[in-house]
Amino acid sequence: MTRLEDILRDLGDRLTAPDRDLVDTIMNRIPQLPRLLRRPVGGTTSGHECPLPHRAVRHE
Amino acid sequence: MAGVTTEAQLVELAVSGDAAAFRELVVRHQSVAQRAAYVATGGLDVEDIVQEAFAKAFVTLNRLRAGEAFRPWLVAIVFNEGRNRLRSSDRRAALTARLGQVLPVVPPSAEDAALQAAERAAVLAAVNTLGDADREIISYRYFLDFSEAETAQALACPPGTVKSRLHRALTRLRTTLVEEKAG
Repeated sequence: MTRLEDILRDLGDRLTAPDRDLVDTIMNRIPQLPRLLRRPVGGTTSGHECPLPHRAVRHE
Repeated sequence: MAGVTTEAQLVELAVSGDAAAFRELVVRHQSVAQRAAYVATGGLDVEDIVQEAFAKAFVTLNRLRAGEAFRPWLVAIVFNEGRNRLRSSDRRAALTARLGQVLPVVPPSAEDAALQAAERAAVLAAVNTLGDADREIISYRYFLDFSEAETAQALACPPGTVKSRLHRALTRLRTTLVEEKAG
């Protein structure tokens, strides 16, 4: 490994990035997304909303 | 999660809408996401970037191809968010100042301390003048300690391309350092 790469790895080792517990904050956002993205699937008569907005689901 | 140990299983469950599975993915990868956001922006908007990245990951998780790891895919989203935040040149100029301030120095001697600190500062400043592509590949390999394979997945390119891109980025970095020293 070259001297420059040594220094780069050293810089990486010294980085003091934040490491907070953001799990609850992140998960509190997630349930909102499907509600925003839900759309009635075209062609249905019941107006059934697809529970998986991020997938194209064919409704019979 | 009882009975679920592999990341592939968690991803599959999360794709089908299992929030607990996605939560486990967040638990496992929030640290690397924060580190990547920090490296991408020098500490600007880290928590916002991480939240936004995971939200986007949740919505687009079905795009993760079979056999692909979640971590590189997530970090690529984080870097994308970071790039968006750094669009203005004012924010980009602050990168060096931010990252430079938070690197602790542990010197063997006072003289070595000064030399090593100066060397690190020069390299860091040079890294932060590179274009986004160069800076990111250096970040993946040296600041996030991604393997060549993980970097290749994150950048959606073959491992051989990672090697050549990294080589070019390091060459440009060396050139910048030489020019700075001469100037």
